[in-house]
Order: sequence, then C-alpha cells, then structure tokens
Amino acid sequence: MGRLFLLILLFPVTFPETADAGQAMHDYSISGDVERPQTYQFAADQSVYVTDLLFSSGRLEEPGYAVILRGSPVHSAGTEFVRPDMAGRGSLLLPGDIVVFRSESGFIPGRPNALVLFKDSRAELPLPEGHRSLTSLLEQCQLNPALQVPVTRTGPNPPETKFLDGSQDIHHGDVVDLSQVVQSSGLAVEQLFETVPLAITEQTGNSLLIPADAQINQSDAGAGAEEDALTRSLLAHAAPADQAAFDQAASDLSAAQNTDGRTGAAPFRNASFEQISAAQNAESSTARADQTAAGTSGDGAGSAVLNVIFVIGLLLAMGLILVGWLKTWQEREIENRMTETVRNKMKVRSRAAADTDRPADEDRAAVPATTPASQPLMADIETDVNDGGWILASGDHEITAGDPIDVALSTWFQDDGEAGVEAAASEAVFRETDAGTDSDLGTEISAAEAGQWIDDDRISAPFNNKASAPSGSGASAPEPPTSAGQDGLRNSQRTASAEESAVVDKSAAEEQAESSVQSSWQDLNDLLENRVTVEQKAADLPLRVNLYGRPSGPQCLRIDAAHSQVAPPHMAAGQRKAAPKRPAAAAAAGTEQTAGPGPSKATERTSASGVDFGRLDRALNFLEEHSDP
Amino acid sequence: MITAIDFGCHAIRSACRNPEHPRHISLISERSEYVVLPDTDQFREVITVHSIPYAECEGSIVVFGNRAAEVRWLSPQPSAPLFTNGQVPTADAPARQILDVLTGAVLPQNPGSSAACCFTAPAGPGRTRTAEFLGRLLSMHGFRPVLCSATEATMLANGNDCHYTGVTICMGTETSEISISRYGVEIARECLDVGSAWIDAELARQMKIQVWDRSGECFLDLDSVRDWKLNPRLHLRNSTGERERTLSRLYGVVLDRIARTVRHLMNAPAVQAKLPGAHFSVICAGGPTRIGGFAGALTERFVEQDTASRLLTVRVADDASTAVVRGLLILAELQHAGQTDAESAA
Repeated sequence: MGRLFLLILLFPVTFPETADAGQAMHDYSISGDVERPQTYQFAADQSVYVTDLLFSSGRLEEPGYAVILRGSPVHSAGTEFVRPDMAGRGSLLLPGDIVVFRSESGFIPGRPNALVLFKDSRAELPLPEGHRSLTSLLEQCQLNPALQVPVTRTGPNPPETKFLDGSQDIHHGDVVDLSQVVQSSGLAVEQLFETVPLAITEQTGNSLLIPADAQINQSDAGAGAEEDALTRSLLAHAAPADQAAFDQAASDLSAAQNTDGRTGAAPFRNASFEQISAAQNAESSTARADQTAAGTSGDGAGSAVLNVIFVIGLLLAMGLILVGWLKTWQEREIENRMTETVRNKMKVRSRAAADTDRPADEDRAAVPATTPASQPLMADIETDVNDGGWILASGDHEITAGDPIDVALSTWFQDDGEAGVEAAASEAVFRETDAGTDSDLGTEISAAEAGQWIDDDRISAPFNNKASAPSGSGASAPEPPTSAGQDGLRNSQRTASAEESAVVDKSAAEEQAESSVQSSWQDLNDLLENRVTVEQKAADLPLRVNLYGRPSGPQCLRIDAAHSQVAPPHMAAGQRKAAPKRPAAAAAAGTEQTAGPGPSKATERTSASGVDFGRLDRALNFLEEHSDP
Repeated sequence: MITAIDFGCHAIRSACRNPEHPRHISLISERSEYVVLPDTDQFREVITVHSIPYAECEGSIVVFGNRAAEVRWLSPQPSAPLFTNGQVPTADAPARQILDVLTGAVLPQNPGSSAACCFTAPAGPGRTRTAEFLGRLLSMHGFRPVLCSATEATMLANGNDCHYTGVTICMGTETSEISISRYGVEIARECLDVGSAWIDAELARQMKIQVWDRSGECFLDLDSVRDWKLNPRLHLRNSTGERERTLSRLYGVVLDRIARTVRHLMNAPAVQAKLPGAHFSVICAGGPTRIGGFAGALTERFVEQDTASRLLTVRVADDASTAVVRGLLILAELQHAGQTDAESAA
C-alpha cells in the first residue's frame, strides 16, 4: 500500500509530460525587447497575466511598455507600463494574445525580432540587422512581393497597424500579419507551397521555432502545408548561432520521418498544432533514452573535471580570503603605528620644550666633556616606540625601541637632502621589523645628540619629520667626537628641537585641516547621495504675537451673483416706484439703503438731463452738517 | 551657519546641519496656512489651555503653521493660505507678518556673520516681487539670501545617478516648474500656473465638497480633499469610484500640460544646441507626485506627446517632499566651499 502511495506521488514528478498530456494548452506569444521571444503554451485552466509571459521569456530587468495585441486581424487591446518591482501581475491575457514588450531604454536583451502570424500559427522572425525588407520575406515565403501586408508597429508611440508594401522594411518589434494575405491569396498560395520540397537537413535552423517544430502532425499534413513552407523559408534566414540546436531537432525530426517511411515528403508543423501521435512520442522518448545512455560514459570524466574545478575554485576562494585578512591586518597595524608615532612626536615635543627651558649648565653637565669612542652614550630621550618600530640588535641581544638606546658616537646624518638621521651604532645594527614605518623621532634626537656633523651643510639642514628609515647595515665609519664640537652639538640640538616643534605644529595643523576638508567633502557627498540622517524638529513659535490688520481669511465660494439692491416689501413697492427718494433725503429720513464702506451706487447715478445727483447730494449733506448747531 | 529654506505654498521647510553632529540634518517644517477664529473668551481659553501659539489681530484670533490643523475643529471656516496664488498677498497684512514669524521660527538662531541661506520662491524665481520680499525677510533675520529654483535644487538632490543632466519636474501646490539641466546647470526652464491646488479646487467643485460658516458663507472644503488624498490606496491608473476617477482625470489634465511643456523645452534652441540628440532622465519631485501611479501616468502622457523615445527613465524622487530643501542645502554648501577655496587661493 505504501509503495502504491509512493508510486502515485512520484508519478507526476517522473513523467510530467504524461501528466500534462491530456491537458489542453493555449498559446501566448511574446516578442520585442525580451531575452527569448517565442510562443509559449500555458494550461487552458490557467490565468495568464502579462508578467507571467514576460518572466517566461527571461528576466525582467527594465521597465517598459507591454503592448497587448489581440484577435484577427490584430488590433491593440491596450498598453501597460511594466516595472520589475511592480506589485501586481498586470493585465489578464486571453488565449492567443500577443505581447510586444518595449523597454524604456530601448535595450534589447536578446536579438532584434519580429513576429509573423500565419493562419494557424506564429513564428518569430529574427532580424540580425535590426530590420529586413518585406520583399525578401515575401519572396522567401514565395508570396507575391507586390502584396501589401498589414504590419502592427510598436514603439514609443501607440501601436498602429499599417499596410506595408514591398519597398518598406520590417523593424524590431513589428507584428507581421500574413494570415490575411494567405487567405486573400487563396488556393494559389497553397499550391505554391505544395511545390516546395521539404529538405530539412539542408536548412539553417532557428532554435526559437524548435519547440514548436519538433511536434509533427501526421493526420493534418495537408492543411498545414502553407505554414510549413513559410516556416521553412523563415528557417532559411535564421541566425547561424542556432545551427547546432536546429540540426539536433532536425535530425530527430528526420529520424521520426524515416521511421514512418515518409522521408522528405511529409511537412512538419508548428507549435500550435497540438495533436502529436503516440508513436512519435514513444520514438522521441526512446531516442532521448539512447542519448542519455551514450552520454553516461562521458559524464564520469566530466564529473572528475568538475570536481577538480570545484577544488581549484575552493582553494582560490580561500586564498582570496587569506589575502583579504592579511591586508586588513596590515592596514590596522599601520594605523596603530601612525597613532603611536603621533603620540611619540607629541612626547618628544614636550620633552624638547623642557630641555629648552633647562639651563645650559645643566645640559653641559649631562653630557661628559669627552666621551671615548668605544663608550656608548646614553641618550637623554627614550624612545617609546616598541611595537612595530625598530629593534637594536647589539651583539647577541636585542634592544627594543622601548628601552633606553645606547647610541655610540658613530651616528651620522644622511646626506640625502631630507636631513635624515642615521642612528646606527658601531656595534648596534638597526633592523626593520615591519615595513612602512615612519622613522622614530626620538631615535633621531638621540642620534643627533650622539652623532657628529660631517660638514656645515648638514648642520644647517633642517629637521624633517619625514625622516628616512635608517640603514643600519650600511652605516658609515664612526668618527670620534671632539670636545670643541659639544657646544655646537648642544646648540644644534636646541635649534633642531625648536625647528622640530614648529614642523610638528605645522604638520599637525595640516593634518587637521586635511582631515576636516576630507570630512566636509564626505559629508557633502553623503548629502548628495541622501545618506544623511534627517532629524525632524518643531519650530519654536512665540506663544502670542500681535499682528496689525484684519486677516482676509479663506476665499469664499459665491454660488450666485450678489443682489445689487434688496427688494423692498411689496406694500412699499408702489410708493417707491411712484416717488423715488434721493439718497440724501433717505439719509435725512433715517432710512439709509446702503451700508458698508465705499461709495454707494446711487450717488454715482446721473439723471437723464445730465444733472449729477451724487455731487448734488454731497453738497446738500455738507450744508446740512455745517448748518447743525 | 549654512541654511536652506523652501518657501512652499503648502509648507515652509528649512534645513541645516546639526552643529553637534554634522552628519545629521535638522529639518523644520511648518504649514503655510492660518485659521481665523472669533476673538471670544471661550476660544482664547481653549487655545491658552492647550498652549497653542496664536496671534491677535483686529477682532480675531489667528492660529498659524502646523497648529492650525489642531484648531480647525473650532471653526467651520477652512484655513487660508499664506501665499495667495503663489504670491505674497498684498491685501493681507497679517499673512505677511505671519510669514515673518514663521521664517524666524524655522531658521536657526545666531546664524553668524553673513551666513548664506538658499531659498526658493513659491512660484519660481521669475516672480521677482515675491522673491524680493522673501529675500529681504531673510536679510532681516541675519542671513545672506541666495535665490534658487526648485528644479535646480531637485536636480542637485536626485541627479547623482544621471550626471545631473535631465528633465526635472517640481509639481507644487500652486505651480509646476519644469526645467532641463546639463551637469546641474539649467539651460531651459518653464513654470506652469497649475498645481495640486487647482486639482483640489476642481475636485471639490465638481464633487460639491463644501462647508458653510456661521454667517452662511460657502467655502470649498479643500482640507477634507487634501486629507482624502493622503490615502495610500489611491492610484492614478487603478481608479475605483467616481471621486478617484475624477482625480485621475484632473491629474491627467495637469500632466498633459507638463508633457507638452517638456516637449516644447526639448525642442528649444538652447537644448538642441547643448544637448543634441540626448536622452533624458526625468526626475519628479514635490508633494503631489507622491500619489500612486504618478510616474506611469506621466509616462503615458509622454508617449502621447511623442517624447518617450527621448527619455530614459521617469521616476519620482525618494524624498519627494523634502528633495527641494535638501538640494538647496547642497547648493549652499557648494557655494560656501567654492568661496572658501577662492579665499584660500587668494
């Protein structure tokens, strides 16, 4: 029972073709700026949307317009803007729909193509040069080159269907509707197709037609003769890159036809012809099994090669990881060393300042008047650099830079133009433990104190914090110091300390300015690329302010025109009509008609005789005001 | 302190770097509107209890800025804009004074000597009277005003991936600005006197969305239309319902004008001379562009206007509402850096 259950479960997985064999399929075509333009089949009970078809034809990487064409003759059913990150699946397609996708940038991931519609089938027409004359297509299809063919053109403009004649070209994204032409040509075209001999093995192939062409219909051979001729003509102009794939399919096809005893005589059908004989299915599956068995021996060698490639790739990856880790470690070390160097410089500067403040007698007492050449001189300044710095190897023991350096009087200034200090002792040898280290300024001071000038030019050479690395092994022969040179040495040390502090100050300021400039440009770059953090703040409004004037407020919506004058009650209408009062008289009687600012309309009226009543009223009012006690 | 301020008909936004954290941008935004309330004891008590800043005018109380929305329920009268038709109102003295108060509130205190402040005028730099007024306002607060267009600021803020070359569309409340830039420099610009306010007013007028105040005066209820438009489900290309369809149609009218203007600018002699046969990226910014389906609807209009073949992409800026003020801050910092370099070189 368990085995039976397992068999039932595994059956659709093992034989998907068998499971889908009885299911009706519908065709949907796609062309344009897609990777694999061709006709796809979906189950009849499946709802197919625009994005389903687009994803079937390759990866959707760019936004664009999907023009949906429908019916026969073909007409536009809509244009949809498609994005890779769109939430929905687009418009629902109907069976037989054609989608022409045009990307916004015009980039064609595959190759330029057009779609040719026949009466019962479709085929993708590759356009290696981006266009092709309609005449050549009609000639290859053995149709009248003078025919006018309806071509639906898609592009940045809305799709439109034009009737092209032979002199015009088919462009990328076009849909050529030959079904109407074939119908109008009638029997003559079919007879013409029947005269074309089938020589599949001599044709160049088109891989995009292979899934459809590999299905052979025996029972409906006569009805599909014209499509076969057109398809063969198209195959003759396919790209050579698909030659191998097509040859494979063609050989399968030839084998099947040979088995049936109809070699070179039976036409083949496109994907839209769904009826496939069971015998051919069995033969094609047998052929596949044979090919699989033949390829088994080659798979062993192939797997070994794959294993070797995998191991090599793994080793390469490990090597890259190791190199990356070493690089990171080295950068960290350099960073630590630079920090330590800056700290040492600051220490040296403070000590140099202390030495400058010390009396000269004290300095003189610190240094013996005469020092034998064999006796090492204890440096006043101890070097604190101990990690990654220099190591003094004196005989059989090593002296780290953290220890007080006993430098012999054999220190020489280098004559390299940068006033470097060579602090090599006669028996001590510098050895560089790490690459890329800056020279130790404390060591320089020690060497300057213990060393001897070679010539005057070198005395006047300023100190530079960019000292060169000491070359211990190449140290020149020491010369014994003279007592007369001690004072000069002290003076030169003070001068060197002052200059050094100035240089350190200058370099620190430069570094600070440089870092501030770098950080400001980095901040600006972050602002340009919108990588800054935005802090929403509330405005600090005053709690109460006094404003001058009257606010106008929002604009009101006037539904109907304002009445110029309010109508009087009906009992007064007759009196008003009989004896209209002057505004001045009305004002005197206390029944003012108008209110609000501005002159009244009544005052601006003039009589038919030309008398200005407004001016007269104003004069009367003026007299009345001045006559009142 | 380098500052940027965007005087918009919907909101006044300012941006500056946080002095303590230079990588942080302090953004202050205040709505550019006010609400008029009767000067009664009840209203005054309510406002005082809630510590709402207000102003006293002749016989009325005015609440402005973001707090205007909080007191809108006290009066059926809708809020009034500080910029009427994209201009500083000449017949509304309190509105001009409120502009001064709001400007002082959103700008940083103690700016320092001759601190630059890039700003935009509501209807673009073409409206010289409004720009002059706002520039003087900034000068009164101790800043050195630098006028800039919203489209140029948008290109600086979002044109990093297209070499600051392309078409910029800033759709605002009262106006829509369109420009074509080449390496950040504008070579053609146009300003349309239509924006989201026209859409809101037409929608309210067609759908009869009105309110009445106590005296019986009728107003278009633009506030409710704006609140409804904040619904994230609204989509210009998937409209459901009569109101959404009307909104899509009104947007379509504006986008049609914008697409026509873009085509006109592309064929302008200056553009043809400096960018012959170039393909442009279109960057859209502004509050009205945040509605769903804006880029798609605009693309359709470009297709109808036969300009889609010259366009590479149509996209809405990620920070559509604050892109302008960020671009203004970039421009101010660039000018400051250039000035510093010139001084150091001298």
